[in-house]
Amino acid sequence: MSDSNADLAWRSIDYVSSRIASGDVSPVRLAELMLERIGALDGMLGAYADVWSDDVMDSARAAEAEIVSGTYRGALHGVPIALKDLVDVEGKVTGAGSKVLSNNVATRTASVAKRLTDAGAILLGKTNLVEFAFGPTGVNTYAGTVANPWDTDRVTGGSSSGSGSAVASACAFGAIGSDTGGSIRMPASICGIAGLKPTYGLVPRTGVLDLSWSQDHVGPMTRRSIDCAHFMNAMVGPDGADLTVKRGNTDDYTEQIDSGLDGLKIGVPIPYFFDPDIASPEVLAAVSDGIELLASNGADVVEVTDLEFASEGRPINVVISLAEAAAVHQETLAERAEDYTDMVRSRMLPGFEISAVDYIRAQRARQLFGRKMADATAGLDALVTPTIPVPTPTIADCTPADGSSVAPSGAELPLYTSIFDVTGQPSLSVNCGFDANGMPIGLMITGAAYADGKVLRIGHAYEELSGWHERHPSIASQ
Amino acid sequence: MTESAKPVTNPTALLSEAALKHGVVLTSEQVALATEWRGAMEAAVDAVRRMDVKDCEPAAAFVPVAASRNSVGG
Repeated sequence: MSDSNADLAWRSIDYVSSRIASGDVSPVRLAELMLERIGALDGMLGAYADVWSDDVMDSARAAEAEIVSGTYRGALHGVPIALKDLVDVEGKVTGAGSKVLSNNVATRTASVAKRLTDAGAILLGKTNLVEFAFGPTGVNTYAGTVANPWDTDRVTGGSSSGSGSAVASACAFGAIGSDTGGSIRMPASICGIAGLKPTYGLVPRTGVLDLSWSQDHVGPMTRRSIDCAHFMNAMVGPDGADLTVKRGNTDDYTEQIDSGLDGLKIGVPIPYFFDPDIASPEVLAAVSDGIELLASNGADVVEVTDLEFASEGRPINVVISLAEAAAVHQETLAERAEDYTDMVRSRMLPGFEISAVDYIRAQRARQLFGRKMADATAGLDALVTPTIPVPTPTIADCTPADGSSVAPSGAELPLYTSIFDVTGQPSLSVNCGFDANGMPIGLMITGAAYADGKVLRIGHAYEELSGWHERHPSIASQ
Repeated sequence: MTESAKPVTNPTALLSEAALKHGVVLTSEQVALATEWRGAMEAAVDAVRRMDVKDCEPAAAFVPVAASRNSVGG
């Protein structure tokens, strides 16, 4: 069986890895294919901050030689992927979408980047992002706003905007993102792909720029949930440097992925997440259809009504994010405030007004919030909700007018995702349909701490049943 | 309270002073733009102040969430 390049570009990592392992597809061909697509599409999308063409081909040839010689490292061996431009790779610029770091050449390689290359992945380069990952829409008035391949006038979601756009346009088989208020799951939802925020403390953040230490998560963005599982197999476990990571890599995240939905109890939290005063009718309709599909294929779906407290999550997330971001950026703001964009500097500065007392109160409230969530979801395997409550806004509506730092739209995007940055639970967004403008809608699956494999299993089962992942944006369908 | 001891309540001055305390010197334009975001910060802080946190011992506040004994989920 032979694969055309047009088909191959859209295939899952799970598929191409089997073809690489069998010798039917070469890593060199995949690398050339991705570089061709980036060359053809990235002028429109702006997903990449940097593409390492020479390194890509060197790595691909080395992978091919190794595989031909009989050493196959696993599912990522020879697969081209991308890194959000806040992940360090020694000798390369980590720019974070900011003028402040435009000449910041990394002197080390992040643990996740090393683990992915050790697993044989080919690094295509760095993807664009919201400046310092501080914003939900994807708008970046310094580095440029990444375009959504489904509609280039609409936002990708942020902050992992380039990773979302690159994967959704088949300009990478997968990419790394980071998530503090939803920055993996929002672009995954809006770009129509899968994005997993792993359990807090599962993937080391060493060598990844901080935004909010106690809420930052690093995770995969791919076109299929099973591909997130392949990423997780390479990424998880202590590195000796990130002390929040306690658990070893004892799970094979693909092992249970084909186990289906039988025996799984899925909660649908009606308060807050399905509140018609927060979520739009078309988002609720698409997610409700997705839930019906799960229920009619083996899942035991139950309504959860005692989650009124969920609305407390977003203010906790905001207080902690603002205080920690101010601490992270204090020295650079003191030295180079003018080099930040108006939008991001303006959003960060009120963090200096948050007292230590209020910050600690938010951390205490966070622990209680987690306990209440555990009590309310006891006995459930997962919660299923919308990822984002509203249809995708335009770039114009998410860009501040001259003389202002606040845009008319975008603030509502993280209302649901940020809840699970507060609790640290694993949370996955998968595509569950399209709105009236043809933009993807995300369904969010959230499980218990360290039940990342179960969350991916549900996402995979849903994709197999729904087939939404088989649709591609027309500008990239070549 | 004497005139000089009155608390500062002007939002622009509050933000500018807080930044300055942390070594961040801002232009008047930068302060004006950042003041647009104070409302969101104040609303979040006010919401957190209304939350009852007495059942969380302070030390627990610094245990990473998913690693704590209060590990969340079903």
